[in-house]
Amino acid sequence: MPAAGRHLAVMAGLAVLGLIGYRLLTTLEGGKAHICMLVMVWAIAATGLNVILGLAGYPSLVQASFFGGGAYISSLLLQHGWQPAVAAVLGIVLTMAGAVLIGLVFARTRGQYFAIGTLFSGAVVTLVLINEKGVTRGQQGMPVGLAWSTDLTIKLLAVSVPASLAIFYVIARSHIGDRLRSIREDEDLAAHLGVPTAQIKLIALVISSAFGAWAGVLQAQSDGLISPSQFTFVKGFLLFVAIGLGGYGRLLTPVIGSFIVIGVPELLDLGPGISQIALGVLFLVVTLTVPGGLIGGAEGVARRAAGVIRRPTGSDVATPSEALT
Amino acid sequence: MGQVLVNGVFLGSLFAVVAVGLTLVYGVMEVPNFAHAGIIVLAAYATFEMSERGAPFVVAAIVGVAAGGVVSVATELFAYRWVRNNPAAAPAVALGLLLVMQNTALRAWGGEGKALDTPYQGVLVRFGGVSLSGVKLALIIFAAVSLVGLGLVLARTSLGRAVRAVAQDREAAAMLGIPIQQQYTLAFLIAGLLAGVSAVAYAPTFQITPYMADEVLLSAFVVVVVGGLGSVGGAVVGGLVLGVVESFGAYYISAAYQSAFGFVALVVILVARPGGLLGTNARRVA
Amino acid sequence: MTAILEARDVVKRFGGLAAVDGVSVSLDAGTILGLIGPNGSGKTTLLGVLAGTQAPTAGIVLLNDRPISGNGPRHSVRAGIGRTFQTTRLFPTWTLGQCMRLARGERDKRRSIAHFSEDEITEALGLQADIDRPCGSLTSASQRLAMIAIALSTAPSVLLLDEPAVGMDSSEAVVLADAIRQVRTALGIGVIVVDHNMHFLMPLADAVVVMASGRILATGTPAEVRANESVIASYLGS
Repeated sequence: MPAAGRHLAVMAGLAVLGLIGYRLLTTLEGGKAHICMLVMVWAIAATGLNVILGLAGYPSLVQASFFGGGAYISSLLLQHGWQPAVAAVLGIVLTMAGAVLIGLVFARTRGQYFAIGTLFSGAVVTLVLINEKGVTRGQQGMPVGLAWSTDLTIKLLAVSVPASLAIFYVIARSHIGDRLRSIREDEDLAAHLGVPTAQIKLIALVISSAFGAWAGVLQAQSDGLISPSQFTFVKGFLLFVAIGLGGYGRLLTPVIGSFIVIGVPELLDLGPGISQIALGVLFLVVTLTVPGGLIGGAEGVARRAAGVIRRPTGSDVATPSEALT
Repeated sequence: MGQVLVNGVFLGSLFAVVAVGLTLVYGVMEVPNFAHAGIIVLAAYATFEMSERGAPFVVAAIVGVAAGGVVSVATELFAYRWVRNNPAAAPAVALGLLLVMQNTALRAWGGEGKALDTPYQGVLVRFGGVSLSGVKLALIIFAAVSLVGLGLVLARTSLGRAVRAVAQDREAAAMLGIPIQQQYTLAFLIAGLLAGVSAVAYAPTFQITPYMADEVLLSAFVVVVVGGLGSVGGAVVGGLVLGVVESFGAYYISAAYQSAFGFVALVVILVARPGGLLGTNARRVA
Repeated sequence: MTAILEARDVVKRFGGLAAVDGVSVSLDAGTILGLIGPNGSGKTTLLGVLAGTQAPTAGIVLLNDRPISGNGPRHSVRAGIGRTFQTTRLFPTWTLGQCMRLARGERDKRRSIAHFSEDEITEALGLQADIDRPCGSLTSASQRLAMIAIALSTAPSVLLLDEPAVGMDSSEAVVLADAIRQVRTALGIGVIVVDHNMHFLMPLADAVVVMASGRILATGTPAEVRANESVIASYLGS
């Protein structure tokens, strides 16, 4: 399919996805609508993670804190009388500033330190959220004032999912996308070819924080109540699992991953313990046997079923062209 | 201030035991083993379970330490071994294992804290103006004994020397003809036993929950970074230093943010040396 | 003939050892310079200094009369230095085309140097059939050529090749030699080639520099060097 045709098809598909989302949000009843909302909010946050973890292969464990940052900052600003749109934008901008600080320290380092550093950053943010009770009300949670009408929140949420995926699509296809994937493939070689790896990792982390923060704003507005337990590093693990299960760097990974990680346990009404055991086991199995994730695995099966010759080297991650499916 | 220092030694001993286990595995696996927290938790619950069933403390403790070893080797056998040549997948494996282990503990024993009784818990030791509870003193003793014992094994036995070599530089060790898989499994066993020791020693000072090891693990990672990947001596020294730093921070600034001081240490180190204190094993292109 | 790349009295020490000990070399535009010498003579180290990825302990390296001084690979690539390595290293699951596209994106677009298009590069190196194949699946000779194709995608004015013919049989080496000549002639790129394969290098080079123990033993045309007594004694044999 020629390039322009392909782009149009993807955009059209995303638009349809948005419409389906809107339909679900407006027609589902109570509990199911809430689950749908959660899955969609997580899909937006996971899209951000898909940039740094999915494309660049850098294990960011702080995404849940960016999620929380957007939620708390925008809600606090609202509480203090700021205009809703400004509160939302500042929630994102200030979270991105935090990401810059974290990135300046940890994005210059290699993967193992990055994992530890982001994990610890997330833990510190959680500590702050829990302990600064004067500001955040601590573990008991903080009620959130309405920024907009419920109807507008629903529309924003329904639009944001396809919009986030569309932005990811553009990034993945751009030179930045090439650079991110080169870091995943072989960071030293990428550096020798002239890729500014430290800079790119920082940018990727900041981009991921923007998605996370916006998701946080929407989460706060949709739920009306936020608490630190929604943004702990365990939640960060689950975001990681969502990306890994869906398939690193694939376009639809955030939607599929979030559905499996959030939607299925809620729908089946499993307790948190059982669902996380099941997710952990599933994640381990997928990581060890189908590194392309469920999307990659399904693609492999479909290819074999269609009788297409296997590529000589099995790819365990989306290649630059496959990242677009 | 002496009190804070003594508390720092207690904390540091805990960090040292956990960090040594982490650094041995880190050296062979090149990835942070988050699952180590899960091993500590399961070892602690194993000890608790034995104790609840009426076993004397010594027996329960031995079971706990052994459980640590068994679980750790199991993680190598069923999970880590299969990503040995693909270190990029290891953080994912570590996360998956941690999720499974922590939530298994949650399902089996619930989320409320459990207390582990010990024969020495009523003891309070006083010297030079400071006091130290029996359980904390016991941890320091357990840590010291196991680390000295480990040190002897690593220095005096050929098996131990091989493990040290692999932890320091596994490609070089491979060239020396050391059978890598064996050393790898052995490193996990040792790390698991140390996790068991730390669980048995730590549990009575606090309480047993599925999340008891989370903050300790984070600080232990900082110790590994500071002390050098694969360096046992570095982990011991770094552990004690960080324990004292966090203890002072907790006392003079804020107890709730104790582990945040470990974070500050991590930030300082990585800003000064993004390659870590001793550099990484990254393959060079030219 | 203008010197594109010039090293003046370059010294490179590692600890107490001088791998390169006072070397001056210049590469003219549109010429192929062969760099030969026994193992340990400092060829690869010199190449690293010339590439700008290693800072010299003493001396200076000039690219188009501007100093480059070990600021790292990104700086070198953007300044217009292309380089390949002794050991093959590529992105295994990426196609050759994708690798070239990445490299092309890293070039400094402000430099107004003529550059090859992707088709021209692959045609010169005989890699047209490989452009959509994963690098890991190419033959080892094609992989060596692929590294050159990727380096050329950054629109360099200087190309530094470290043992490009390693692992190639004579027919593959001929293809390589032709490709290097074409690059030299069509674009006026200066090329430095380090190699041990004399059958490959001698007919190809316009000039040869012989190194031993970190110093230059002899320079001249291939014929002159081949006839040089001290070179024969220390390196070439009969």
